[in-house]
Amino acid sequence: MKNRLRELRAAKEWSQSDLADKLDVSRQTINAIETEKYDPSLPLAFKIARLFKQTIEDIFEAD
Amino acid sequence: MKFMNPQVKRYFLSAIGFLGTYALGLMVMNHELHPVTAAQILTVITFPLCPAVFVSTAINLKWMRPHRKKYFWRFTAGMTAYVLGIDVANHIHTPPSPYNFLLVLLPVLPLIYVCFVIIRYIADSDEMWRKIYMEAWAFSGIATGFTCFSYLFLRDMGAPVFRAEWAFYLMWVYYGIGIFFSRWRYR
Repeated sequence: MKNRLRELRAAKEWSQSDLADKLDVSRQTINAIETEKYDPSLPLAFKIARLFKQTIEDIFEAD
Repeated sequence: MKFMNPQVKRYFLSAIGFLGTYALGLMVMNHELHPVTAAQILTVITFPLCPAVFVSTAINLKWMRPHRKKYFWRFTAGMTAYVLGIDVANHIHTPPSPYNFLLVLLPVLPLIYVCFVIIRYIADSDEMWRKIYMEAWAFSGIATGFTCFSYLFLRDMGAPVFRAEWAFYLMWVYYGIGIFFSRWRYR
C-alpha cells in the first residue's frame, strides 16, 4: 500500500522517533510503514490520519 | 567515548557488558565443571548467555520504552524465584514419600508466571513487533515440534540419544532464526 507518511512527517519537521512517540509505536514501525514494507492496522491508520488532520484515503492509497 | 553518538555509545556499552559477562561466566563454569561430555560442554557454552543477556539489557534499561522496562523487571523476578526454587528443592531433604514430586515441581510455578509475562509483553508490544514475535514463535514452535518428531525416525536408525532439555535450546535457536527473518521482511 502506497502512503504519504514520509512527506507529511517531513512537512512537520518531525523525526521518525518524534512521530513514533506521538503514535505510541516503535521507530521501526514508522520506518516500515514509510518504506511500504508494513501496512498499518485500521486503528493505527485512523491515529495517523487524526494526527495529520487528514482522511485515511488522503494518506494511504491501495496499490 | 565522547566522539560517539548516544545510540552507538549505548550499543557499544551493551556489547562490552555482554561479552565481559559471557567471558567471565564461561571461565567460572569451565573452572567449576571441567566439561567433558557434549552435554556438559553445551551447558558451559549456553548457561553464561543468561547473565550476559541480563547485564546487556540492564545497561539499556534507561533508554527502554516503559512496557519493556516492566517486562524486564517481571521476567527477572520470575527467573530469580525459579532459581531460588531449584536451590531450595535441592537442599530440602525429605523422607521418601510419593508426594516428593510435588516439591520438585514447585520451581515450575515461577515459570508459569514467566510464560504469562512473555505473553503480556508480546500483547503490549506495538502492532508490527507483535506480528514479528508471533511469526518467530510460530516458526519456533512448529520447527521444534517437527525436529523432535523427526528424531523418532532417526532414533530407529540408530541416531545418538536426544536429551529432552535440548528441545528447549533448539526452541530458542529456531526463535532466533525466526525473528531474524521476520524482522528482515519489515526492514
